Amino acid sequence: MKVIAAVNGSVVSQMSAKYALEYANVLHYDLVLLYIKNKKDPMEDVNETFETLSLEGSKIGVNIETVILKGDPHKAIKDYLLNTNADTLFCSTRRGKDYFTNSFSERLSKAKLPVNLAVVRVVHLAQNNSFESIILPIKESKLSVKKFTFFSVMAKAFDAKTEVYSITTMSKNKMVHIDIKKAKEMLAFINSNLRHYVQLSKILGFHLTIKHEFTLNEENTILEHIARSNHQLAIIGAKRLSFFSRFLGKEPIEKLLQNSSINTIAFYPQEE
Amino acid sequence: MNPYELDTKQLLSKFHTNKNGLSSKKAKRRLEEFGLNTIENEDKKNYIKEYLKQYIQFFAILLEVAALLSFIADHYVPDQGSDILGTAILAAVVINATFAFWQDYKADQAMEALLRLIPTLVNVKRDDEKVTLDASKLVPGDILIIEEGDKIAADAVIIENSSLYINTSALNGESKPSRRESENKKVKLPLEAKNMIFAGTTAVSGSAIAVVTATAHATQFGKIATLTKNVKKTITPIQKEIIRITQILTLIAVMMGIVFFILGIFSDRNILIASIFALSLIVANVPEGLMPTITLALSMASQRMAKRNALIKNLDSVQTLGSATVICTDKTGTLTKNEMTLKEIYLSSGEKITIEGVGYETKGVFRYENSNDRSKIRLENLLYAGLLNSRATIENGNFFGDPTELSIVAAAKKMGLDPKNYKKISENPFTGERKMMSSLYTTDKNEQILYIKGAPEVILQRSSSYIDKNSSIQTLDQKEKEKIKEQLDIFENNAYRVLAIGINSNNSEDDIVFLGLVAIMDLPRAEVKEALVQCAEAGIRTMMLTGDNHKTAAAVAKKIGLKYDKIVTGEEIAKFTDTELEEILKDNDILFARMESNQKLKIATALQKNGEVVAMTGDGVNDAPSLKRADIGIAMGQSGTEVAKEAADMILLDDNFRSIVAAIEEGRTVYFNIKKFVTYILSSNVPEIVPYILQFFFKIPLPLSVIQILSIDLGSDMLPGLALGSEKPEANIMKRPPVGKNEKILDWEVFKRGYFFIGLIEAAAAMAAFISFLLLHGWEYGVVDLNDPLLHRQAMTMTLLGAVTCQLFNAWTMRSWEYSAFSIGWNTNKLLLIAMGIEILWIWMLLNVESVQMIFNTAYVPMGDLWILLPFPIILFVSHELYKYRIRKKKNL
Repeated sequence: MKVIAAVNGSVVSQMSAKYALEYANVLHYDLVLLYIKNKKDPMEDVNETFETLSLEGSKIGVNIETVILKGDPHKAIKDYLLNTNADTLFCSTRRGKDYFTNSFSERLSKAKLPVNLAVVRVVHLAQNNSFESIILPIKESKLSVKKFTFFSVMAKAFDAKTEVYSITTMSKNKMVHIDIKKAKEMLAFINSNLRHYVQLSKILGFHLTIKHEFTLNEENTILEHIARSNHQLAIIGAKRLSFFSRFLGKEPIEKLLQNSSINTIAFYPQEE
Repeated sequence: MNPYELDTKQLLSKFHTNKNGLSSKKAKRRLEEFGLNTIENEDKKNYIKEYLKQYIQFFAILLEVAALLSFIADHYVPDQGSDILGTAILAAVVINATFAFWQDYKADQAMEALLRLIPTLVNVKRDDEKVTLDASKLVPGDILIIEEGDKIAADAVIIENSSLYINTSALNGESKPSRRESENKKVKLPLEAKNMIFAGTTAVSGSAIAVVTATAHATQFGKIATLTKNVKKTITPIQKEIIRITQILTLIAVMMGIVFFILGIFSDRNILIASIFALSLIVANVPEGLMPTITLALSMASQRMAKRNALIKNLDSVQTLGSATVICTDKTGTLTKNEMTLKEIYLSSGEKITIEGVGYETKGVFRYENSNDRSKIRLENLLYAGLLNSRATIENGNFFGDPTELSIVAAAKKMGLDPKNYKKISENPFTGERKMMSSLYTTDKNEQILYIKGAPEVILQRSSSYIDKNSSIQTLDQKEKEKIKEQLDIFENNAYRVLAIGINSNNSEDDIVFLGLVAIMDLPRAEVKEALVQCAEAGIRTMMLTGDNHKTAAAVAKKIGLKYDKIVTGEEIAKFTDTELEEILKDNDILFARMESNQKLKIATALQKNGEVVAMTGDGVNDAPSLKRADIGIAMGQSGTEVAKEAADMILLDDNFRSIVAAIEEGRTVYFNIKKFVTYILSSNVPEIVPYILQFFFKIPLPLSVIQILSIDLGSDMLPGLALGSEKPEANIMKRPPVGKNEKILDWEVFKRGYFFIGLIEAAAAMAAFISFLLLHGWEYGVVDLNDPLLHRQAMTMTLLGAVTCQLFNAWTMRSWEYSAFSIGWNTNKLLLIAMGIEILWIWMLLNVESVQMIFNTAYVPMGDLWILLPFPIILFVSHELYKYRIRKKKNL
């Protein structure tokens, strides 16, 4: 099994590839550094990325393969993945008009790839090999096995403490009428739904806490929580929105990637 | 690894840069990767859109539909005043929308103030050249050149330093410039790293070269901005209540409208008549004047608060103040005067001297204990040492310099000391590491003396001798040191900040001759003690948050009479989980010591999760998120930063704790005043509705037109309603528990008094006036369409006056919710007297001014017929007074 890291010689793609390397290390997978030839990217930077990563890979015993493809990047990656037994594709995102909307990463997220997709937004260059704490915001108790697996591997990779941040969004009207007793009942329900993940984290050997919040605005609450707590990496489970949903408004992930004060990974599990 | 923990080589390598700076090409690429170094505008509101949103709120839509139906009715049945009705309803919608929008708009200004701290231009090295560029173009890895006076635009780690001092008040509220270093040290948080500079701070002196490590939202400043932008208020109690009241009353209105529309159709009325009838009932039921009256009442209360030094920015918080259950207050400046006073001195010879006078007064008496004839000279020597080794000055009543040094200078002035015979040669300034400072002087005898002051433990350790009772120099042995330490403990346990003072005839900071200890205190405000008692009686918990150690915190609490169950330090808070903190805060009154101001947000959130309504004070930029989070954020008017003031709901003009308590008293008053005028407004709904219902079931002419209903709701009820909103605090207002979060303004008591008690009396008055007048003028039951239109208008005028005259007396008896109207004093509410005068003038106009009669369908009624109106207002007044008497009896008031 392989983990793929799309690189282009930029410092953020190198950082994203380092996350991929740590991820591969935990699962004992090989790492493929995938570059699609492009006039814009200086080849010396790409080679530097290859060298740096190969060196780091050899230090921790991860096999590293470099692959250079040509042609339309989207098609080239898709074709390559269809013919490769891969687990997850890591790629970094950078700012055009937006970080995600209409980006290459967004195209990949909608491409029905046969792998999980991890879109990495880097804001801190120095944080690539140690995290004290990783946060995973979720809606109420909606936490899929795939998302939790990715989260667990990252926690193990960086030997980090973890937090599942459960957010319950409600209307202003509902917020007006909710009382403490009802709120506690709701929290107890969420906790009982997530209990098995807490047990699983104990078995896997990392520390997991669950925090809750009731809110009118999901994205703002996540950003606020990240800004006032001491996490260094956020993993956000993202959805592949339909055209209709996009038509109604920007993807929430865009706002989170734009305004996050820590490095953030938008995780798109492989579609069944 | 954090960037501030790396050495220069590692740092440059990690950020793929070098001392000559990034190449333009690389910088351009990084800008694409990391984005612009800006925080603003991503969420900037479109204020036109926000304003228009106010017109699609439920309440607004209801009134808009009513207005539309009025215009339709006017089209089909003209000259009935429906067009005026429609216009009046639309005016009510515009007033409500504008008030609501203004409140939202003001809440957004904190962010704007914050962003003014970021510079527009910066100096960096690119391609080995110094270039000036737009701060938004800064990227991680850039080599930033900082010079004195520069505002800093990104977080960066220093690689070359030339005595750089930065003002970090924007981040941690610390007003003293902080010295930067170039060495990396292991610290827990980036803000503690001395080799870092931060966006939003300013270089006060010196210069440095640094590597940019974070831009935009990733900076520490960006985090504060995110919190300031995103931390939204939880819905305030008054907002909840307005939503609830609107929902309930609208539901009643719509239900009644629908029921009577259906009944109208089944009783052979045509659809148009049935809809006008239903519309009339809806208009009668919806209290159109309620929202503007609440807003104006809150606004008047905020004016009263301003007179008591509490400036309200967010009107909703006026009422929230009434619900406050916890006050989290800073110590310095709020509970204390923020004026250091040198109160006691301990001389090395064993004398203890107490000094009179407060703050920086330059007159005061010295009282000696254990003194001899040479004590005064020894005291002079000590104060000279303090005065000369200080940068602070007091000239013509103006103070300059550090408050602690000012207190020593003030004491020296009290002694009449003059430093003119001494000439300063050099100074070794205070540093956090040395914990001391010294100044070298030449005296008039041409001797060189080094004056030293600093932390007692440091000075004691460096002292080898002291001056004894005979003014001779003795060796400072362990026994003497223990004696001094004992005194030091006594001072510290009494909340004093203590400094030791010494001299040396050799220019050395070792082998000091120990002169004594000075005990300085930021004295508590005299009025705080009483205010704290008031809080306790009012069921409000007060928690003090201070950066001082737990000993000082406890001593200050004791001095001001602040009770607490536990002392919790900032370090402990950092270790607590949210649940643990919530648990501790549940039933305990906590004294918070060694606090960092970024921990305030955690405390506010935990208290709110426990169901508390939190009032929190703050002054620094980093207090902005907690001020926004708290139910009532209170900024200091004198010492507060602009950002804190913008983020707060209330500004304390005198920084005084007593003003918070005064504001809470006003907040509670507002709650009960709103209750009073909601009851008052609901009362008049009944005489507006009942005539329509009676006309539906009985064969009588229409007793009241829709425009007459609006003349009550948006006209005659408004001024007395407002006047009730400005009633002064009632006697027991601060002896009650706080208004509970779940306590409703519109509760059963309000319904009972408004609709079923006073309202029914008013309805009886209105209908009795209408029917009696008709009967007296020859009308017989069963005649629905009167041949004489003037008679009909006169009868409708009587109905209107029946309701209005009752409301006059209702306003008077409603002045107190529980106490007798006579006990308040007839002239204590001037606005009510004016409102009464205008009401009487309005009644006269309805009866006598032709243009008013035209608009409101009224007519002149002879004096001989007006007597019919007389008994009902009196019955209303007496019966409500009896009702309140029963309540007082029941509650033992």
